[in-house]
Amino acid sequence: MMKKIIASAIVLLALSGSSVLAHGDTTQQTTAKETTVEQESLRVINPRRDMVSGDNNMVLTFSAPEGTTVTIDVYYNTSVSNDKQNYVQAYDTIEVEIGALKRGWTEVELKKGLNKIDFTAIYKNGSEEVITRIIEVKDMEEVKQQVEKSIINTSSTEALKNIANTGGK
Amino acid sequence: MNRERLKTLILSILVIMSILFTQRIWFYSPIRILQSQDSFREKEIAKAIEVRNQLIAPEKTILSFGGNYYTVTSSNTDKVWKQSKKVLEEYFSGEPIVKATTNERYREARKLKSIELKFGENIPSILISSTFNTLDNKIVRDIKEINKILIPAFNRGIIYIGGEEDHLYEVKLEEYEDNRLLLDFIDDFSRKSHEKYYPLFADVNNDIIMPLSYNTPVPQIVVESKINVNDDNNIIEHAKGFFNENLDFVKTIKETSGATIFMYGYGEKGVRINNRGRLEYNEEISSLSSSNVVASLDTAIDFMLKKQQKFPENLYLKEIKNIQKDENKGYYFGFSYRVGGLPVEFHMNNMSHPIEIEVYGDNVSSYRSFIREAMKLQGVTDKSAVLLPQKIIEDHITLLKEEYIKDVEEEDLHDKEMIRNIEENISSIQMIYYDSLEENRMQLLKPVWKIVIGNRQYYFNSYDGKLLHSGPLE
Repeated sequence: MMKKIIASAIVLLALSGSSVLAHGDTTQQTTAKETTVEQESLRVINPRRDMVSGDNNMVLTFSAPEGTTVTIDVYYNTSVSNDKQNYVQAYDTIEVEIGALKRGWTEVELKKGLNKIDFTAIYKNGSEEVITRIIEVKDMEEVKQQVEKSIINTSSTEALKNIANTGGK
Repeated sequence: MNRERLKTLILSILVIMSILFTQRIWFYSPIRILQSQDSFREKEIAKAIEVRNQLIAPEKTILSFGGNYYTVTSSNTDKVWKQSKKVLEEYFSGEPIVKATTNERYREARKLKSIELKFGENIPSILISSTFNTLDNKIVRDIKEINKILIPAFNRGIIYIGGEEDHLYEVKLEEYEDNRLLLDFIDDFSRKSHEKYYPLFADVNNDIIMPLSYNTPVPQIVVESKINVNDDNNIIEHAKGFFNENLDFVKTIKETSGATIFMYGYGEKGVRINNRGRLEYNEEISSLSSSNVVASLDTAIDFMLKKQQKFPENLYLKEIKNIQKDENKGYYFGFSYRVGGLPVEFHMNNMSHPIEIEVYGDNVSSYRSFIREAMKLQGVTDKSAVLLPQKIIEDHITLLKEEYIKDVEEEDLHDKEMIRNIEENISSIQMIYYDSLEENRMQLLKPVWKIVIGNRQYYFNSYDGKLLHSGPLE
């Protein structure tokens, strides 16, 4: 009986292990696809997604076809309420001409709290595309405290989930 | 009777006097003379060690402030090196554990607050160790050469060393004391004005850091050759030092090219000063070999201190090579220097560094120097805005692609693939002064971006982006 239980446990473990691997594979495939497809349009390399940062300065990296003009608008959230945001443009629009490397970089200054960054690509044929990222800037201390608190109060997996959640907000 | 007494008295006084004087001559004076000789020798040794410690210094240092943000220092390296030495001393004098590590570990550590020191080419670890007054320790035994050292600011008793053939090592102290030495230093540095560098090509797995804006004005500098070739007296002054200040038995020949040759005896020793002010000294040496690189460097320093009227400021050790002539083994030392805080580079057929010296045993067989000095002129320090290296790369992408095709010998490469490969292979970007060697006096040194991609190096004028020189990596 004992042997059976152990054997089935091993089989179950092996199965769950392989599913994790398979899962990893699919994501890799999709990213590869993404790069080939997105190469021809605007792609924001950094920040890759909406995120929380401890730094007021951020370097934005993006790629677009040669000859595209990419404009960047940064908005600060002026609303005090947590549910509703009121975004106000922070400073003049930044304009970047995309050259032969098909890349653009710029450094922007963010404010504590929520920030919205709009990347607008104006392609050679006149069409436009907009990608938006929301960046939350927190004090380093705040981020640290949050992490520490979650580590003390909850299990490690939940702590990780918490961090991941704030990252995806 | 009285007279006899007086005689005895005089005689005894004379005897006492003779004893006293003999003692002064034979006991006191020689010791003092010997002592002064000793202290002279000691002073000489101390001076040589001091110079050696100045010459063995990093070529450039990179400060990481964390959060993917860095700065590169080339003029402030002294300060960074001095601070780093306080931390490194423990590792060189202690008994750390040395083990191989991966590039990933190194890169992870570099992303956090840290200091990276980059040294010249093929610098033996024993030389760097000698600046900590130790020649035999764990690091010297386990790592042959040191190209770079990475010191994490959060002291956990670990540093990383890049050695020969790109091998990476983790050097770990079993016991260490917590200190905030580097952390405070880096934080202080971040508050002062500096150029910010970022890993702009991180998405293609290249850690190379580049600035997104360059606001420090870099002026052009006017220089002249140290030896004034239009003044015969000046030429003789420079040559004399190589013949014990005496040119009585030295033949002088003037070449039609404008070069002057000084030859001693049947050519055992000779000095040639060419029309640009480049000095070359050669001496025939009997069969001698050297295996001690520290002693050889000391010989080279001693030679330079004696023969050169003035040591160029900001000189540093750039390259070391093992050399062989017949059966004899020796060392080649290449030195470079900074003007206005930036390294000076040039391209000459028979010379790769401003000072080159070959040492066999305790003799110097060859010495070449081509030193330029900044001229004090008013109103010519032109400052223009500095272009960014990524913009220069973009503007010259057609040329870079052409050369890339030549190097990989593949013609039907996709454009996108080619650009990606070029981006992946950018291995170094540095602001330097480039000497185009057109003039002996009033030569304008331009600030240049030296960019290394794959096996090629490019020198672009940082003001207008024009290509000044390109060639295979030396």
